[in-house]
Amino acid sequence: MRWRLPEWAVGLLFISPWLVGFGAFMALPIALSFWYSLSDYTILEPPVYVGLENYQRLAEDPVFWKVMWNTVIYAVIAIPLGTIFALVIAGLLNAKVIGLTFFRAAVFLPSLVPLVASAMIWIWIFNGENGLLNGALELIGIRGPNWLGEAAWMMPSLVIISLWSIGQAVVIYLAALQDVPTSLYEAADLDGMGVIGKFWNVTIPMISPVILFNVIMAIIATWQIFAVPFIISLDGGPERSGYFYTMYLYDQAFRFLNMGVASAMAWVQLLIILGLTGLTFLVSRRTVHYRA
Amino acid sequence: MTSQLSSNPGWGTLTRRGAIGAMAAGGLGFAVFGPRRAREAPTGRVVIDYWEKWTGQEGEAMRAVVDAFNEGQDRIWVRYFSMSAIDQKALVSIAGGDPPDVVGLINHHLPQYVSAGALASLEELEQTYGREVDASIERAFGPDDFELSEAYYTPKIWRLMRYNGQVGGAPGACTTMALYYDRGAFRAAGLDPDRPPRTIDELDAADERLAVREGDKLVQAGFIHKEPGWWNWVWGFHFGGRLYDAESNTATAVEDENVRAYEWVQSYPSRYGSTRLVSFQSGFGNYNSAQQAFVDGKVRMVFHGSFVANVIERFKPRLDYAAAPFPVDERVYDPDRPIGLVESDVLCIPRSAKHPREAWEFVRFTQRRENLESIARRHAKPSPLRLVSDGFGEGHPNRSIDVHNRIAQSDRAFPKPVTRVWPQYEQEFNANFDAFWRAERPARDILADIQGRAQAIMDADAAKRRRRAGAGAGGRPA
Amino acid sequence: MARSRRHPLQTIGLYAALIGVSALFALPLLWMLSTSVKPIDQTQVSPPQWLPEPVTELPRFASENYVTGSKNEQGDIVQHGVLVDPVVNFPLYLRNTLIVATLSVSGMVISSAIIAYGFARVKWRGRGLVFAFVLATMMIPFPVLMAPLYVIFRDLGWIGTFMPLWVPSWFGGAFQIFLLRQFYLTIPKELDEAARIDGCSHLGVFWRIILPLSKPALAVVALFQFIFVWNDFLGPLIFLQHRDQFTLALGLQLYQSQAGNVPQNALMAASVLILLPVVILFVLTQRTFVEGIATQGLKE
Repeated sequence: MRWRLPEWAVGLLFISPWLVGFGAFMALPIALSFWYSLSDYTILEPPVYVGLENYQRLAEDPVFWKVMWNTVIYAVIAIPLGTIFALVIAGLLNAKVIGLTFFRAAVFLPSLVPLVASAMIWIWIFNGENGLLNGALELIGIRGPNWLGEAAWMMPSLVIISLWSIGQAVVIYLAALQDVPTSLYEAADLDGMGVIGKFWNVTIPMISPVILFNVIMAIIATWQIFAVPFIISLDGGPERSGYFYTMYLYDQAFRFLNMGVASAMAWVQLLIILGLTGLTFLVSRRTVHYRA
Repeated sequence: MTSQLSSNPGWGTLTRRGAIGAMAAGGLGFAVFGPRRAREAPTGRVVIDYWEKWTGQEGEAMRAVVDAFNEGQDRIWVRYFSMSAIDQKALVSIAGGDPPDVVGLINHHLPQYVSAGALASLEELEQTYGREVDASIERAFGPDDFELSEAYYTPKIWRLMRYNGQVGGAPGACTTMALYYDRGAFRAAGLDPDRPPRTIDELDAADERLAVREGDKLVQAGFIHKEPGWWNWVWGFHFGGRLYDAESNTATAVEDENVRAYEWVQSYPSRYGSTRLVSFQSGFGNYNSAQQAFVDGKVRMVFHGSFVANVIERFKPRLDYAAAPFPVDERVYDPDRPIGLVESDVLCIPRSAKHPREAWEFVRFTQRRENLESIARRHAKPSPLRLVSDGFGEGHPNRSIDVHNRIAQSDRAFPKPVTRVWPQYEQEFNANFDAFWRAERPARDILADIQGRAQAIMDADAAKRRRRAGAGAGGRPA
Repeated sequence: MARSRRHPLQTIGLYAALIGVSALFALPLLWMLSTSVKPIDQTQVSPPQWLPEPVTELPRFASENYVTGSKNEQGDIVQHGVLVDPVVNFPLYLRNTLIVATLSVSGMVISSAIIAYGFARVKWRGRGLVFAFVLATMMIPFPVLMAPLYVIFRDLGWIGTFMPLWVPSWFGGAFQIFLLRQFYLTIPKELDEAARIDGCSHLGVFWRIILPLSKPALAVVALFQFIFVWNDFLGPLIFLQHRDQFTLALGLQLYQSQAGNVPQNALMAASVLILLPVVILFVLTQRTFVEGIATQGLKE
């Protein structure tokens, strides 16, 4: 018999690409980012250690709090709304309908549209004067607002765009729904539960782990929202109503060349995401039903 | 679920596979054999890279000069690259030690670049290579009257090239901003097309006469501050205000002149209704199109640069337009000293450029009168030179180019505030312009917000500079 | 919820709801298509029209917007067709995108397939822990990394090349590793154990048994990576320099934002062109897509 490497060495060899990649493209950047966040760094000149000054500047920076606020508000509206919408649509699709492939394709396809193209389409639809949306509203006698031109309407507009691309969540929920054993529904029928009762008492508990996973991914995605608002307006639109965390981070790093401040923002973001994820897990421990 | 990932080839699957295969093969083929840009330089020449920020007609202006240079001599070859976000990309390439040899920036980039020691001083280059480069240019292209000094350029433009006592670059195309008005509409509204408004009050009066309402809707406006909306910070200057005091490094947005100016800005939405104005404006087409508000006749007077003439020429050549210095507050009106924003492209040579001598030779070539004037013409812009050639105005695409020349020559022409943090300061104006527009808060309060934040950024920046100077790390790039 | 027990009225309501929802999702795309085949003045009529006027001229309008361009009164072209725009070279950007996609997709498939084997089939201490760690890295968003990554790539001299866009794919992706590992676990252990007894090394098992059986999962990985590259905006925005190097997503943004930007109909035509390959790919591979996505909900 030939001599073989011990299993642990073989295992490490197989996963070594990931180890190298993780070291070079994640661990190193995160470590560097921590060092930069404690430095004055403009890219042009070497970093100079400044302690917590960048964090302090962020705390005193009204624009930082503005983007934080915008991002949180967006998350608080878009995530629950998106989850409910996706669940409802998945429920409809799960009703053993004819033409499922077609309906599913119609709902799913928008989530594949490149964000840049999606932004272009919606800017055009939201146009205050010639837009499709206001044209439709006019037909029923409503004078629509200037969706992306007014601070108050920016957030609702962005949420609408986000709802348009929930196709992936719908597909995930649909698969989860199809996995719920029919015997449970039959039992519920015997208990005399209605459609809503069954959805609430059987469906939701059964797919709660999937919902949890989706919500966590949505939280992470929300903190990254960039391309659509960036294309709608570089400077964040009227009164920075469309200015988000990642946009400000990008501006600090690549427009204002404050790599130090940008890195401090990155670290704050990382901690927030880890914190939120942990919190979601804690809350869910009581409410999420894992099948044995 | 994963077990569903199974393949059971049937007829449908096979044709589908064929289609996917064809797509993949087509894509791969396109990736390998697809279009590419030819930019081979002839062998035996020193190759230098030039980064251009303009596209389209404006980009072609410089390309023609590059071509003329490449053809006219046989020692240097300039490669022309079209860049976007050029200021960021250039800065970073300089930091990375692999910069272009020549880069076309704009004057307001200089403070940041020069402070960081990113640019070569043209005066030093001229001292080092001047004689041999002059000789080489004259041999290939004939004699010229170039000199790197205030004697050759319009004084205002020359001043834009300098920061901290260093000549950071040489001018490319330059422009000034003015009031563009529709003479036909003036006549129709009973206004004298040869007597454009000179003061803000006259502008308001003309605006009233030109505005057309249909019931609740505005269908034609006289003047709108937000068209095209590229200069939200500019209005105070036309009231005699300033935004920045370089001496004390302070933001001065709350000066009384500025407050008056932005109260004037607010008078428009309060007269027309801010929602109505915003909705009216969202129907405007893009700048470079026949639907642009001024070309289309939706707005009869606009604040614009000389370059707008190119768009008019393209989409509505019969439009009877003219330009005049933008109206100013009565208190600062002086017919001989017009007030107007002046800007200039700047051709810079990074300090770490690999071929400084050749870069200088190319920049030196662009500064010949015929080249600068040809660039200016193509951009529909005024000449950056002190002496305007006799033929320059004839056949110039902008029929009011004299007005722009006059503003450029005026001692009250003003540049963007010269501070390293201008990008942030300007962003404050852009972000807050809607607050002015909705007129829910007094102009003074909004200006105070802007000033407060701008000052905080300036102080932080100054503190950083001081610390770097103290640490002995300042000045030179890494 | 079996069909037999549904009341006819419920059925009608259900289909009405489904058709309504699908229409809402489809409308924006149809509107984009509609705008892309109209002359510019017809994009600004109120109320909005779905078809150009006269509709018989549609082919001419379409070819103007996409290829031949529109002319002014003197006969000069004032707006070029999207495909031949002199500033924004979409065919070139297509080529760039395909180059990046080819390199990135092959890297992701190859590396993730290898790494997942290490987690699914080789027994070593701490394997579960490391795997959980891999999954945890999914929580780290790109924006957190982008500033320092930029500095690293700059020091490597990669800025202004395609390398930052594809080299990292050659080191696997957390989700892809997860997906492939789950799939490997469904392949009966007996197969490779038999092969191991016959003297086959791990490499042999991976190559001869696991890989051939995993084609559907590898296809999912390839498909997702392709879509990712096709849609990616932030990466190219940060790492690319010359306009000649742009990818399609970045090119579309350049097309929209360049000084004196383009009219709506041309913009929509460009969006249609970028979307078209994705739609075709989706139609051809719908099942792979749907099954791949559905796997995401799978948390064991």
